[in-house]
Amino acid sequence: MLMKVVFSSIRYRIRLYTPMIFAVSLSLSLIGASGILQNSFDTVVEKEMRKYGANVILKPENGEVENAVYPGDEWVAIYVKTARMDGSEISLAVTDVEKLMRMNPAWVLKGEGNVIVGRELAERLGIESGDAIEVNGVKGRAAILDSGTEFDSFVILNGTAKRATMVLIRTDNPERYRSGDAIILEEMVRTKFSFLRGIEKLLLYIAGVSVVSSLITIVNLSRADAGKRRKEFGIMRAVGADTKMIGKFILTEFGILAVISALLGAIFSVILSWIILVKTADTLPDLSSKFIVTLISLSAGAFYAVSLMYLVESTRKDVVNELGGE
Amino acid sequence: MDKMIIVDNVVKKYGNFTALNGVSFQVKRGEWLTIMGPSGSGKTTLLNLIAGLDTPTSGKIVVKGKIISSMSHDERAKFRRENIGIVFQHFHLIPYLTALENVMLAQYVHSMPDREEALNALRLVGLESKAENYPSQLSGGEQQRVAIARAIINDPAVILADEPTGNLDAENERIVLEIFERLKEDGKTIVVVTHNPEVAEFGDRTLYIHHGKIVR
Repeated sequence: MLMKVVFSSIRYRIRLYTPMIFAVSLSLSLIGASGILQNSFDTVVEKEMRKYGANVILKPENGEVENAVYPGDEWVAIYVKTARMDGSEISLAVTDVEKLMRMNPAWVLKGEGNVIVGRELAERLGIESGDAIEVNGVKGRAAILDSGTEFDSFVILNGTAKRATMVLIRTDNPERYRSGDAIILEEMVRTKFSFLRGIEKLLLYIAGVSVVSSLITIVNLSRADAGKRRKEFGIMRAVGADTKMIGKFILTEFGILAVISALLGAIFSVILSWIILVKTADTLPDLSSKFIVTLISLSAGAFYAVSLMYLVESTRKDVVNELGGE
Repeated sequence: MDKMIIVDNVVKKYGNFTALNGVSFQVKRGEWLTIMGPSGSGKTTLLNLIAGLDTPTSGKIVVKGKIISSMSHDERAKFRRENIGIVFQHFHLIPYLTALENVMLAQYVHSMPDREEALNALRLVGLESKAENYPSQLSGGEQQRVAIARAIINDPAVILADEPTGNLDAENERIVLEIFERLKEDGKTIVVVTHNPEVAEFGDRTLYIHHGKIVR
């Protein structure tokens, strides 16, 4: 009966609720698309890094890296929870090199420099630990990494050697690294993904404006409607419904509106981000498990805030005056 | 418990305006009391107080042995769902629910909805065939009969009706009053507010109220 009443009420007020749902789902789709774009930067960056021959990629998941993977015939987790990717600075994956070395004794880092150079490459270029070097305009001190593997690496750092920002780039990629040049990930992101960054920021900006206008819309619409519904609350009171029961009707109704808006917002945001990512980076959206939960939470927050007006109206002691009389 | 309703020296004020001024009377179990008076005399205010929809400024109202005037907002709602059925002049059906669903809503509030029982209630008021109609698809008389079905569905001991025939034509007025007569025969205590002397003739006793006081 509860659901029957609630769905009938929603159907009855469809003209009122449609703009509310539209306003909220529009805001959510912009916020969601922006979030998906941000989330997908990792995928975009990873894809690009692999093109350049990166052999170890620290994969961030939900803001915190759970594992790093070693791509070979199989994907093998080689490291757990040491890296974190700052959502606003996706160009850098931070890892605890010291821990990595403890876990993999074959990895030996000599020196405290901020530019790690693979042993074979260092030998070829005549670089020693502590040497002042410059890689693509980045000046620093070299730290030599002996990874104990068949490939050699550049490790480009943004910090101290043992707790560093790093990406390993294979030097056996003749197309890219014939002369031992390294690619600075920050630069790669800056040039390659500046367009995506711009879109993401634009989406966030529009989302901000949309959130404000949506809130104004739904508050205005529901403020007028809450007064009109006082009579309905009075009828429910008259047949014996108490505050808790009327509250249950209201909260269920707004909960359903929140879920509908969140689902629409999720669908629109996936479509929007899919179009942007496929067109600009040839990458599919990377949806995190928290994505839909976040949208539902935001939607529920918006609708439950509005439902407070209805709850206040329903608990007014003079609600029965709406039923007429002298 | 012979006295179903006791109204004891009830005063109701809205700001400086006194709607009821020291009203006292009693209604016996199974009695049909009619309250008459001109517009603005305080009849509906009095009915709302007996229904527990409002509280008196002073005085005491006892229904079925319980002092409802000292109950909280929610306690009165719970008491109402168990013991009182209300019929309004303007029917007050939920517009987006069918006739049947309006009746079942009262069941849901009381305990749990039972479609067959709700259909039976509609059958009692002669509206079984229009169970799936929405209020907007019903005439005034039919809406009032749905409202009566909703009022009696939980088998309350007391039926309160505020101008139940006020918006009805003669034919529907007759139908509604006949239903009330049947309810009285079933032992219900009925209080009807009206300004129509013909309606009052159906009751056992009539109270006249004027300027918030019982005059006879």
